[in-house]
Amino acid sequence: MRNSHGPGRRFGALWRGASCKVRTPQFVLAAALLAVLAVFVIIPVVRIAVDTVVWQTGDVRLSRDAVPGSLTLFHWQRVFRSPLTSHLLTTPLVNSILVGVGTAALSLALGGLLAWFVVRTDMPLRRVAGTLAVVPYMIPSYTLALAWLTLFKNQRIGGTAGLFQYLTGVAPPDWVAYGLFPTVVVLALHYYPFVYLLISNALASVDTSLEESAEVLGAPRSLVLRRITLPVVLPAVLSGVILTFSRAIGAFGTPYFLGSPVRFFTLPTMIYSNIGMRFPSTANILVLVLIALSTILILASQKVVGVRRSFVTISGKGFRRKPIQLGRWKYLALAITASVVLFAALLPFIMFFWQSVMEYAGTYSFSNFTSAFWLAPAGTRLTEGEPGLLRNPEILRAAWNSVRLSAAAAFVAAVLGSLIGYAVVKGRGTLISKAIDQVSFLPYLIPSIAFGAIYLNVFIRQWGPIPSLYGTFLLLVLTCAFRNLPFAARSGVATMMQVSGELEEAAQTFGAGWFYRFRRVVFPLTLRGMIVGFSLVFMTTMRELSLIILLVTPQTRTLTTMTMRYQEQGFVQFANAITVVLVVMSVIGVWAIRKLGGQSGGY
Amino acid sequence: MKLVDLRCVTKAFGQVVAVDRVSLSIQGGEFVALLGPSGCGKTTTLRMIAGLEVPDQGEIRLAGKGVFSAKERVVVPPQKRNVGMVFQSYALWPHMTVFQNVAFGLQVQRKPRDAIRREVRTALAYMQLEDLERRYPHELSGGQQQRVALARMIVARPAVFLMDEPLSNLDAKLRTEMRAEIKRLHRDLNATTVYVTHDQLEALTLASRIVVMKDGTIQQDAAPSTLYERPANLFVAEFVGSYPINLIEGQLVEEGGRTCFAHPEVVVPTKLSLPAACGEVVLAIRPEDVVLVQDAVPPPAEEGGPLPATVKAVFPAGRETTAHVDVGGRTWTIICPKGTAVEVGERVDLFLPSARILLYRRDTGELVDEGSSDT
Repeated sequence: MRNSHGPGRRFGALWRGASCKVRTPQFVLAAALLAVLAVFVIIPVVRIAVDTVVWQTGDVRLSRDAVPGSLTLFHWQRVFRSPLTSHLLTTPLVNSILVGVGTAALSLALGGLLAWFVVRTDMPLRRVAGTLAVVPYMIPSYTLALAWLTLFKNQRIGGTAGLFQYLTGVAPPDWVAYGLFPTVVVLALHYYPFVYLLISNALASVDTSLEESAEVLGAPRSLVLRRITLPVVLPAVLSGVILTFSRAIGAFGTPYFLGSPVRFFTLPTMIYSNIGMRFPSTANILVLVLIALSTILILASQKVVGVRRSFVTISGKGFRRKPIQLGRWKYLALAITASVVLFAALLPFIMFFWQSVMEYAGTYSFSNFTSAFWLAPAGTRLTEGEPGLLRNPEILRAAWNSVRLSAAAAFVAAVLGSLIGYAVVKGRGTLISKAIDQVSFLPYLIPSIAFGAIYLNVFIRQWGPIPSLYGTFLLLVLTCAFRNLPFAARSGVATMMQVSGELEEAAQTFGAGWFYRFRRVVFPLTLRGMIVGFSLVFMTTMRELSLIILLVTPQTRTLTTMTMRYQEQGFVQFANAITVVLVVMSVIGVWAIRKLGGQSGGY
Repeated sequence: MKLVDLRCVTKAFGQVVAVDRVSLSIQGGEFVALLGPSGCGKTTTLRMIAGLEVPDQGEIRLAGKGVFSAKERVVVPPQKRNVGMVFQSYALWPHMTVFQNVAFGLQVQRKPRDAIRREVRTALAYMQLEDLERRYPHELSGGQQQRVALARMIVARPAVFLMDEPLSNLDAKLRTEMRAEIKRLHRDLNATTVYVTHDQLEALTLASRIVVMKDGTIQQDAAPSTLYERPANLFVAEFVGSYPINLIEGQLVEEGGRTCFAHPEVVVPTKLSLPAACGEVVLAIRPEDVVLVQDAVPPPAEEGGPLPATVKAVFPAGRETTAHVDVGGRTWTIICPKGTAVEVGERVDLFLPSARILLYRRDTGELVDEGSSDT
């Protein structure tokens, strides 16, 4: 007979009235998580909001009345009611909305069409097309912008002209090369897979027996479409539109590369420019505007779809009905699908590689081939002394930074996400569990560039016991980890939901203490979910630009920020070579996640 | 020795009081079934014994030691209570083999490796699982999973076995088989067992004592035979029994110096020695206790009756025939002995033997018993 009755533990301080509050490890964990989330999510947002109504030390150059530390509405007036309003707020806001609307419309057209072709028609090669259709999303969006420049740039910003001009001799007009139009096209080519996935899932999950029974009852095709198919697909369409809109207005890289040559500003690029010019309060106000805009949209999308926080889910059983016969048109459908995939994924990649092996940028002949940008030793004249990519210590360090940043951020996010999942599911119904659930979702409402701006503001100086983190690798890790926490936390909650509470309780009745049962039961059961969460955050961080662009210093540069630097310096070959490396890493990474994801849920 | 002792234990979830001032003492070696419909608080009671729920009020003692006391502010967590539990879902750890599942409890106790192996093998052999020790739970049938859950519990030698609806996920045939298995386990190990079920047949066949619960309170705490023969109130009378108990409303009156149940159509003498006019009551009688009399047969001498009835449906089932009859608008179920030939539409007489009837107060639903006559 086991004899392990411990003495009754006393929890006097935690008793309130007649009800009993026991300090269980779960409760302690939940409280600790809430504290961490408060420090890294809630308080930073509140702090930058407060900062906008307080004179900052640097503000003396803005106004003679500035008394650092005292309250003022100066910054808000400057942004909202001053001669600068149009430049600072209205124009970027309108541009952002135009970019959002355009991107959403074009994504809907591309994604919806492809989804219909793949799910509902007899287009040849449907399966292959279905797989390839999501590839553009794996490639960092700003690299598409670079590819666009390579193709269409004219000599407005100096340097050599793009491939289009090389081939035709005609300089593309500015509106094709820079500004709104290319920004919309590039973002749409990047984001249409969202819409594609949502709509194709919805289309595939329409129980075709519903449609068929309506047809049997003699309903005409148009009626069936209107009364049965559309209502099922509409939520997917709406949420796809809102999702792409909110992503597009938060995008930084693409409007930066394509917009700055013609001074086309969106909110994110205006924020970047204001931080560069050291107007942090102005930037903070724009950050708040952007957060407000994005929050409204995401809440609206949740209202529309009815399900909170559904990220793109790849699920749904296929009820494949007999496909719609396209006849001769099916080759047209294939051609459209192929060209979208070609333009969005394949062509840019080929362009990057080609560009990276050119001695003189923009000269597309075999005699112009060089491997210098990949392999040249230091001191080569062509590369202005910089060694080729594979020998360049700075680039290799950036690559190493990218990898370790992604790994560290993914690790932090996955661990926190799992713990959040545990605390939320274990404490279901309690107030603290709901609070953790809600707060861990908050970063999703904050566009990347805004999140970076907030962390820059909060951690640039010492804050209580936290020393100044500016310029440290840790700050990048924290930024990427907390910005991506919603994904990891969702994955953690989903995993934990599948692990029945009784499994842990069973271990408890056998005398296992909290750490023991966490190690032997909870942790092994959630490991697969953690790995998936880790891979998600890892991949997102690998191609992250907008989030960290404000925070990197020469010591903490990553591959993505290196690309941007070389691009700015006109060293397109280097920028392109790095992009090739990034794309290859991304595709391998996504493939690995697919593998892992496919294996999970084995029990 | 009182192995499990609950005193005035109360637990509420928000506004809903799941368990309301429950007191319960269980002696070593008893097999106690907590029986009741879903939501009656039986599982919550079990989980409070295990420590998986913390009560709001009251006191719980296990083997004489206080494991919970609201007054003394004592809460002993489950891992220190020395109880074993079988969950409704079995809660086998999916990432561990059968062997690892069963060994877990011994590993927690830090037993030496070969002792663990020996004891696990013994337990697996006892549950007839020898060949399955390398399998994972998802590779087992429902019945085998149940056996693993039982083996896992017994190997840790807990002071009390707690079982939460362990058979509810099995099909009817396996359920009968596992019921025998659990009975064997209890007989061999003489382990104190608390068994939660909503199936009255399971409770009647397994338990040495049954605690019927409803809305968080104990309705009756008695041996299975008492529970069946003398249900303490109308709820228990109706809940226990494979066939629904028959009810008819009337008054208690004095007639010819005896206390009788009076109904416009029938007068049944009772064994009660009460002053008359005890008031409105409900007479209850088990289907097998009603005597059905057809015209040809002369009425038995001293039984209550005849109560006229019309046959509505007949269900011959070999060993016995069940009939539904209409008694003044109420449907009664009657089990007739083998060979009884009744037909639908036939008018019959029912006799209600005084020794077999149960009387309940109409206002409270409580059993009217000898000696409880003062009101």
